[in-house]
Parts: sequence; structure tokens; C-alpha cells
Amino acid sequence: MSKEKKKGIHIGNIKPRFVSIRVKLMLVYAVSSLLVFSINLILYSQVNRTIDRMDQLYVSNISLNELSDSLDAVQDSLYEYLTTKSSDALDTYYRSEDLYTDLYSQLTNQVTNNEMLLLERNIRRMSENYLNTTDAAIQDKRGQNVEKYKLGYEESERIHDNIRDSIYTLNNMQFQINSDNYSILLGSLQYLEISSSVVLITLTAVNIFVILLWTGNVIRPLIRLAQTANYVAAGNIEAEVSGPRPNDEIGVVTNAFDEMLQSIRRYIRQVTESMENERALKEKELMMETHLKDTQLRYLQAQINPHFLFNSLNAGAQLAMMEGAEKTCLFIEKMADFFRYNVRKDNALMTLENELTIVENYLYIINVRFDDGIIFRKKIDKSLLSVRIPGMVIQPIVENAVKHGLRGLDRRGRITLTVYRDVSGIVVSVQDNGHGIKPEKIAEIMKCEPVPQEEGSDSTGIGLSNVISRLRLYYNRDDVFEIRNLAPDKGTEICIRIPLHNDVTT
Amino acid sequence: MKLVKNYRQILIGLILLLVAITATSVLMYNYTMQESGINEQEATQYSYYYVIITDNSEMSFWQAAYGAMKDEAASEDAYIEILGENLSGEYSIEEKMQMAIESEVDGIILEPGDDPAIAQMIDTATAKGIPVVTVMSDEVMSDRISYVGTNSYDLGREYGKQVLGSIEAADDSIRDIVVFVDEEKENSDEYTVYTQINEMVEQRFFDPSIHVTSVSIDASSSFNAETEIRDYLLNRDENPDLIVCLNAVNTVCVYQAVVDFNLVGKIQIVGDHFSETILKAIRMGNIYSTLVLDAEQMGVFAVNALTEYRAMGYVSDFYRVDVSVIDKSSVDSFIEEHAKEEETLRP
Repeated sequence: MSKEKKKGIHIGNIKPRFVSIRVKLMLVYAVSSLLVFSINLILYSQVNRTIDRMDQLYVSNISLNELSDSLDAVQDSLYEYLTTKSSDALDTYYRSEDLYTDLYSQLTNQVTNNEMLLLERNIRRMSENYLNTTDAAIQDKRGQNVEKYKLGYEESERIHDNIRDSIYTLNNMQFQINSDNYSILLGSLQYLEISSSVVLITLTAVNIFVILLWTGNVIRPLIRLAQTANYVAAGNIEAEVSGPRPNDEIGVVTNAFDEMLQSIRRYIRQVTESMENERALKEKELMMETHLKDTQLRYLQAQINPHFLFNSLNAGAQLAMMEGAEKTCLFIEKMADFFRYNVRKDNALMTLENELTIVENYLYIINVRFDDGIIFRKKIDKSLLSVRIPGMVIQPIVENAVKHGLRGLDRRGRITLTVYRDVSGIVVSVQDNGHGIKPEKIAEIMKCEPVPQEEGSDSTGIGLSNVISRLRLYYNRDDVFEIRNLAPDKGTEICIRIPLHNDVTT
Repeated sequence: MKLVKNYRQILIGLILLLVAITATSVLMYNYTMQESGINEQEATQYSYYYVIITDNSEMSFWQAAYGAMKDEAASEDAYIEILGENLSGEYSIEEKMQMAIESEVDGIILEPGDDPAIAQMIDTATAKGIPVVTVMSDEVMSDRISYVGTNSYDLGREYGKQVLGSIEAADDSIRDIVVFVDEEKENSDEYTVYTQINEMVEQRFFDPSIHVTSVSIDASSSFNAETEIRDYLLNRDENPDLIVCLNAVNTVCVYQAVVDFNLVGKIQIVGDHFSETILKAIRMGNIYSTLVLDAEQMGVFAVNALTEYRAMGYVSDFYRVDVSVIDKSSVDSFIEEHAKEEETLRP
């Protein structure tokens, strides 16, 4: 295992040589051609062998024919010499005798159990005897021994016939064997046909496989590259080209693609980082602004400093008491209470009782300021005084009635505050006998759009819209606040409906 | 990666397959060429060359004798062949003798015909240093080194015994006995056989009503015998009671004619040598008996005579070959024995 690892590392360290696709394809072609060529070479050599053998087949017959012809030539020239005694005939005789001797001495001289070889031997021995006889006949002719050469010729003619017949028989046997061999060779050619077809079919299969394998090796990285490109196109920017890298053009393209992907990823990271920075910067800015606002507010609050105000007002009340001005004293005390309640910092819930006290204080101050003009009535279910509601809710409603309902009224203004229980819960109703309110104005108020504060106005600073918003948010329902006109010119009634189940008691 | 490995394995497998198929095809090709004997000119070499000269080489007797001769010769480093058997021309005994002499063979086993010139040929051969052994019939007046066979006298006695046995078995109903001989010549071997039979019958019965006659059948060409036998049977007023045949061809021809002319049971047959037909007929009782010369023994003796002569320069003048009788009682055991021998001969 470790060995393999080492080997792997070793191989990994050597950078494989770049081999171009063209070279690879050339290699495929060369290898498959080499295979075809070598197999063909083998097949052709077999075919050639068969054809060579076919060529040689009848050579033996041809040489036997030559032998037979040459034997005839000897016999013919002998006859001619014996007839004419011409030197030409003698010359021909010797030449044909030489040729015949050459030919028959190629025949075997051995005794074997092969009938053809045995026949060859017999032909050879008979030929020797034959030539002895013919030579003797020639000599007898020269010696003019007529009787002897006649006998010699007859003898030679007989032996000649025997040899001819033997050659003929041998030729036939040879021909028979050659024909058998010929049909065997034909058969072997057919066999070659079949076997070479099988070999070539296998070869084709091998070639197809070699080409498939090799081109597959070339194309597979390309397919992987295309797949990765598709992944990237589908948004998977983290996709990577899998598998080994071939050392060819596709490898180069794959590497380039990888680098491109890396640089895209890098770029995207940079963009994300810079956007993040920008967002943080903006957040910081906003925070700073908020802090600034907060600081400003704190500054303003610090400027007001309620303790200073209350202490001053209390000092004023004591002064008025010492001077015996009781009304002034009461007025200043009420003012002090009103402001104390107004500038309290927490948003905690207030009891209804507290809220009513604020309303009373406010109306006292207003009445002192405007000369006891407004009649204030209250019908309170005492059991509900301890109910807690969001603070600074009722006083703005009363203030609104004073400012918009009763101001400029030619009769005496009256405000009736009723707190009672009904089926839906607790109802706090503020009713005035003022001018009333136009329906479109009611709709506008109920929309709860903040109304810009008028500079230097004579207000405590909290508008109806603020009250409505806070009530709706706190009780999480829209019908918590209601404005309705009483009979024309009979004033307005504003109701707060506090649901019983929602934090009714302490 | 695994896939690639698999591909490589398949590729290597395919290439190995290709190599295997190619190699097999080449090897198979060479093998078939060798098997078919296209290159073959195989031959065992021998030191001596003997030839058999006979006109009856196609007879089963000669085939059996030839088989034995071949084996015996091979054991003596000699090859023996029936001369002229594979030659296209037809040769007489004399011509074959000449051919053997011209071919300078080392020994001749000869079944001499009736040609008087044969003796001279034998002398010529012997003069040229080629020993000649005669078989079946002798050529007494020649220089042959030895004769292997039976003498016609003995053979005649054996036939005579069969004829007598046949007459007795037929309850003396056999009166007319015919002996088919090759030629009616007084000095021929077959005629000697005939005279022996005649003599024995006469001596035994002293009855002139039982008479033995010889009929000449010319068997020189293949189809003659059959025609002449049929003609003989058709032209005779009265059929013979017993026919004695002195060779296998005649025996079969007579038997077939007897069957065809519906004479089974009327004509009894004493035959020569054996064939499947003859043995079957003996078993059915249609042929009384047949005389069988021990062909293998003859073959071995003939080759031995040549070998011995070559080694010693002289050899025994006469080798006697056993003659056995096959009749109804011995036919089954003979068939059995013969079948065994055939099996051992057929490797």
C-alpha cells in the first residue's frame, strides 16, 4: 500500500509529457494498421505457402515426362543409328544417353516399402540394364555383327517398353497422389478462407475496441469539461472538473477553464466583500445619526431638566402660600403635578386613576387660564380606577376637545368623562358639547397619519394620531378608538374601548 | 478509473484472443498439411528386395500368403511385393520374370504357369544371381532353388479321401464324378490330382458304374471359368453326382451354378480353398468339403527359403505345406479361428 503510495507520489512528481490529440489519433491509426498489417502478413504467408505447393505439385509429373521423352530419344536414336549408321545419329544417341543417365540417376536406388520409390528403383535398375543393352547393340553394329545387334535391338525395345510402362505407371501414381494433394490444398485454401475470415473479424473487433478506448480517452475529459461548464451555467460556481487531466489540448483547455473558474470565484468573493463593507459603513452612518439624534434629544431634555422645573414650581407654590395667595398656590401645585406626569421617562402603563388626575389637573389649569369657562363632569365606575392602560391617552383626547371642540364656542363648554363597563369591556368616553367634527376629518384622523407639530402651538405635544397608534399597537385591534358626532352642533364623543381580557386589572 | 482499467483488461483479452486465434489457425493449417501427408514421402528402407510372380495374385489365398510373406520378409530386412500388380500393362509370367531380372531383384517367389519357357527364365535369373523359389506347382526341370507347396500326388490322395468320404456319406448314390481341371495334360499337376482320385475310387469300389472323369475348364481369363462351367452343366444330358474343383474360383462358380439351376442336393461338391460363400455352403451341407492349403505357412516357407539360400548358399529342395480339410464338422471352429487371425492382421 505504502509502496503504491510512494509510487503514486513519484509519478505525480514527474510532469507527464504533452501529447497532442493529433499524435494520439495518429497512434491509434498506427497501432490498428500495424495489427491489420501483421495479421495480413501471416495470412498471406500461409496463402503463399499453399500456392507454392500447388506450383510444385506437378513438377514430379513433368520430370517423369522428361524421363520418358528422353528414354524415347535414346531408343529412337539407337534405331536410327542401327538403320543408317550415321555419325549424326550416333552423336544424338550419346547425347540422349547422357541426358537419360542424368535423369534416371536422380531416381532412388534404395529398397523401400513405398511402392512408388520401389518403382523408381526398378526403373533405375532397368535403365542401367537397358543402356548396357543399347551400348552392346551399338558396339555390335560397329562390328557389323548383324545377328547380335538385331537381337540387341529387340532386347532393348522390350526393356524400353517395360521402362516406359513403369514410368507411365509411376507417373499415374504420382498424378493420383498429386491430385489428392491438390484437392487437399484446395481444401486447405478453403480452410484458410474461413480461418482468415475469423481472424479478420476478431481483428476488426479489436480495432474497433482500440479506437473506442483511445478516442474515449480523448473525448471523456472533454465531456467532463462540458458537464462542469453546465454545472457552472446552472449556478454551481463551486463545481470542479473531475477526473485525471490528459496531457493534451483538452488538458490545456481544462486547466484554463479551471483557472477561469478560480478567477471568477475570486472576483465574486471580492465583490461580496466590498458590498459587505459598504453595508457596514452605511449601518455605522445610520447608527451615528441615531446617536446624534439621541444626543440632541438628551441635550434638549437636559435643557428642560424637570427637577429644576418642579423645584421652581414648588418654590413658587410655597411663596404663594406664604403670601397667602391660596389659589395661586393650588394652581402652581397642579401645574407641577401635570408636568411631572408629562415628562416621566418610562413608558410604563398608568392606572385609570392617574390618567383621570392628569385630566383634572389639565382642566384646572385650562380653566385658570381661560377663566373657568369649561364645565367638567365625570361619571366613573370606581371599581375600574385601578385598571391599567397606556399612559398619556385620555388627557390628549380632552385637550383635543378643548382645542377643537370648545374654542370659540358661544355657549359654555362642557366636557363629560364617563368610565363604565359594558359587554365588550371598559369604555372611556369623552364627550363635549362643541362644534362637532366633520366626517371627512374623522376619516382623516382615523387614518392615523402623523400631523406635523405646529411651531409654538399651545399644545402638550401629543396628537390624537399618536394616541390612536399607541392604543391600536398595544391592544392589537382597530376598533379600540372611536370618534362620532353627536346630533348636529351638539358636540363630539370619543370612546376608548378597552377589552376586558387584555390586562384589565393590576 | 476503474472503467478504464476494465477497458484495458478487455483490450488485452481481445488482443490475446486475436493472437490465440491466429496462432491456432496457423498451427491448424500446418497440422492439416502434415496430416494430409502432402510433404510425406515416408518409407522404411530395406536391404533386400524380393518379388512374387503369379497370375493369381487377386485370389484370397495369395493375399493371405502375401501378408505372411511381407511380415516374414520384414523380419529379415527385406521387402517383398507382387510384381506387376501396380503396373498399368498386363504382363505374362515370362515377361514379369524378365522384368524382375532387369530390375535386379534379390529373390523371386514364382508360381510358374504352364509356359515351357519359364524354366529357361528361371535358369537365366539363377545365372544372374537371383534365386528363384517356386510355389504351388513345381518347375522341376529348372534351376529353382526350392519348391514350397504340396506335391500333386499328396494333394490327389487328399482329394481322393474327400471323394470317398462324400460317396459314403451319400449312401453310395454317387456314381458320376467329374473333376474340373485346368488342362487335360497328362503331366500337369491337376491331372495328377485327377488320376489319384480316379485311382483311389477304383481301388475302393471296384465298381464300373462309379466312374471319375476329368473336364478341362479354361480359366486363363477371368470370366471363362464361370461360362464354361454353366455351359457344361446345361449341355450334359445327365448331371454329375459329384464335382471336384481344384481351385477356389471353380468352387464358387460351380456352387453358384448348382444353386441357380436348382440342383442343390442333386450335385455334391468337393472344393478347393475357402471364401465366405464356400464356408456358408459347407455349413448348409451344399458343399461336402474343401481343401485348404496353409497360405501363411507357404508364405513363410518361401521367404525363409530365400533368406536361407542367401545366408548359406544352399537350401532344402522341398518345403511341404500343410493341407487341411474343412467340412461340416470343422467349419465353425475354422471360421472362428479365421476371424481371430483377421483381427490380429488388422491393426
